[in-house]
Amino acid sequence: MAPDHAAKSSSAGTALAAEAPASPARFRSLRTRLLVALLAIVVVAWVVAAGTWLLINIDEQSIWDRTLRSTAKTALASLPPNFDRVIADPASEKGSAQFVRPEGAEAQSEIAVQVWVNGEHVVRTPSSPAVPLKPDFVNGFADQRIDGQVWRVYDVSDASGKVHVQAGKSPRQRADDVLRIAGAGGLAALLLLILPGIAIWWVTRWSFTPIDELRRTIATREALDLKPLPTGKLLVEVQPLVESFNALLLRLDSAIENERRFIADAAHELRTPLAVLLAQVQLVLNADDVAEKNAAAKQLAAGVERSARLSEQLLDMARLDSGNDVPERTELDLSDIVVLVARDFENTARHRSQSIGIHVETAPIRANIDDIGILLRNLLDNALRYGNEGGRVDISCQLAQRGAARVARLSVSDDGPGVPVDERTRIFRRFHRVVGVGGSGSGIGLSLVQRIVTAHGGSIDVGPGPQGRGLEIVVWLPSNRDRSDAR
Amino acid sequence: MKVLMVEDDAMLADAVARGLGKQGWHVDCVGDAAAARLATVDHQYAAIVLDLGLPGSSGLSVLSNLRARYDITPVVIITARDKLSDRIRGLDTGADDYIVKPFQTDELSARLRAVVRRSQGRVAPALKFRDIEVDPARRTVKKAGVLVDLSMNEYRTLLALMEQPGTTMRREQLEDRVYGSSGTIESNTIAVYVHHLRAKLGNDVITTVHGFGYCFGAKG
Repeated sequence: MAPDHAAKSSSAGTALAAEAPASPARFRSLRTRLLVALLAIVVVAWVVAAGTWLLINIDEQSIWDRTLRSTAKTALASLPPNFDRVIADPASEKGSAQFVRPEGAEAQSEIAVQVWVNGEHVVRTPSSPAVPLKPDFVNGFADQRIDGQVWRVYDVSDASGKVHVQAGKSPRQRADDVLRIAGAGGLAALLLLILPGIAIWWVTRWSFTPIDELRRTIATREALDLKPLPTGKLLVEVQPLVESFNALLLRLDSAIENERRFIADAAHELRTPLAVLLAQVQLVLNADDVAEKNAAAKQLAAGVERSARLSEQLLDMARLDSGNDVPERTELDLSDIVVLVARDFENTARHRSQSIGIHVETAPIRANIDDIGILLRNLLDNALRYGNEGGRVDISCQLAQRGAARVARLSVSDDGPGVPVDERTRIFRRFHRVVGVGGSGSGIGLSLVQRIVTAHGGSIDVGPGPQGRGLEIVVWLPSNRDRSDAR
Repeated sequence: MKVLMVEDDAMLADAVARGLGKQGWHVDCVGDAAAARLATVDHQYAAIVLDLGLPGSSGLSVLSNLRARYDITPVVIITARDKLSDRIRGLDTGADDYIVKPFQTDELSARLRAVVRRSQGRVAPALKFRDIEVDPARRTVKKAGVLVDLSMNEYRTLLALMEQPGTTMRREQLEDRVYGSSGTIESNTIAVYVHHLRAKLGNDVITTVHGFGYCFGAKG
């Protein structure tokens, strides 16, 4: 069977069986598999039974022989002791005596029995021929041709050798026997084969009703209906399947929920800056002289930068929201990334006459480089945004010992107004803005920092800056190298 | 001075080209990697502005192709801010500097001036000092024939010192050569890189001139 054909034929099967990978196409359906297997077992059982029966019947000759011998011996034993003399009595009707057939006995099944005394025919059953069944009167079995038919015959004599009892069975009688046995047996066999077949088919069908119901439930769902499936009256075997399916639905639901929230947030957050941009463009267009135009254009540029920063943050947020739980991580030196990212803020710092102090030591960590970029960017952005104009932002990193673990300590501090103690945990919430503080933060940055640190198994401390003013955020990230292992 | 701009967004390329034109640059624009390779054949540009986010064949391949041909024309790459890994890859491949999208043309012009200035008098042949060999085109460093793994900034520090052996260089000079510092940033990074270089290449290669700077080889 061609593979594509196999795929097509299986798609018609049950939805659950359709994904079973390596089994042959015909047995992709559990129902078919069960049905075929059970029927095969019944058939095999019957073949074995029939075989045994045949084996017994191949030995049939000996059964008939035994019957013949026992009939003949019984007949001989039942003769009176002085039978030959009784027979010799002239009063008796020689050669014409017959066994009286019992009422209802059938001639076909009878064994022909003859009694001979001194070669003379004394008694015979109605079915037996007139001639001796075994003309040589030698004890034992023989196949004897009588009237063109082969009889199975047996001869036995008494001790004197005068009285011979002969028993025989004609081929017709033998055939009748076989037919009768086979007829009754065959009918029974047929019934016993068909009835379990029907039963198996029905039981299989009945067993699979819950799965069919499940399939119908799933098939009739709306596209984004991610409610868990009911697990109440499920079969024990199907329950784990449905439960894991429900777990998947739950994850999917939260992913879609994140997406919805992001779109809503993004739309809401972008609306204001875009309105600002449009207003600033209007100012440029309507300016009366070059100086005014230049001033308005400068404002516009600042507005664009702010919008760009916001859309970057929203993109960063989407990146973290996208559910990529384990982004690619590499061995990197935090100090290299600090230098690289800090340089991006030179212009920002210059515009506000701020300076950036970098003090780094080698701090090897295992992390996602782009995530660490987002982390550093947001910390620096935050520090420069809320730091004093003409002030200073310090960033440092080094290896440190924290308990039993070696960690990378990253610190970013500013000289701004700082954050009141009771607000410090809230600044990491999405869209939270510190009340009464200037600046144009989006409230996204620190929530991204928090998420990245958590994802990398680190922690965050918040406190006042080194001189007791401003804000210092310290990030601890697990380091994978010892200080002595110099890079 | 002629600059080649490799940028697939026509609107951005046009705006930047006009902006750079106002600052005295003559800008040619191409939109894809194949055209960029063709345009760089005869080494006629003082510098190249390369967007790493080109469609199809990435901008990175233009850069590696250039460096594979021992073309040391200075390259400034344009990268997205969130693609820190791309930026590092670009610098590792041989970019001289980078600028992050969105950027101001003034900023790009300043970066271009800096890379052109730094590239003056630079040569493709390998630099050699005792058993240390530096191949600027390939960006490889060997000590006693064995490749030494240097971070980008360590390499730049080494190159800056090695190009003028025996001359003492001030920390600010080195900072400018390593990451084009504008004075806003004050850092201990050069000391860190020198420390790493000594660990990797031998203690006596770089001498500290206390209170002044560093010197490669014997103090001159």
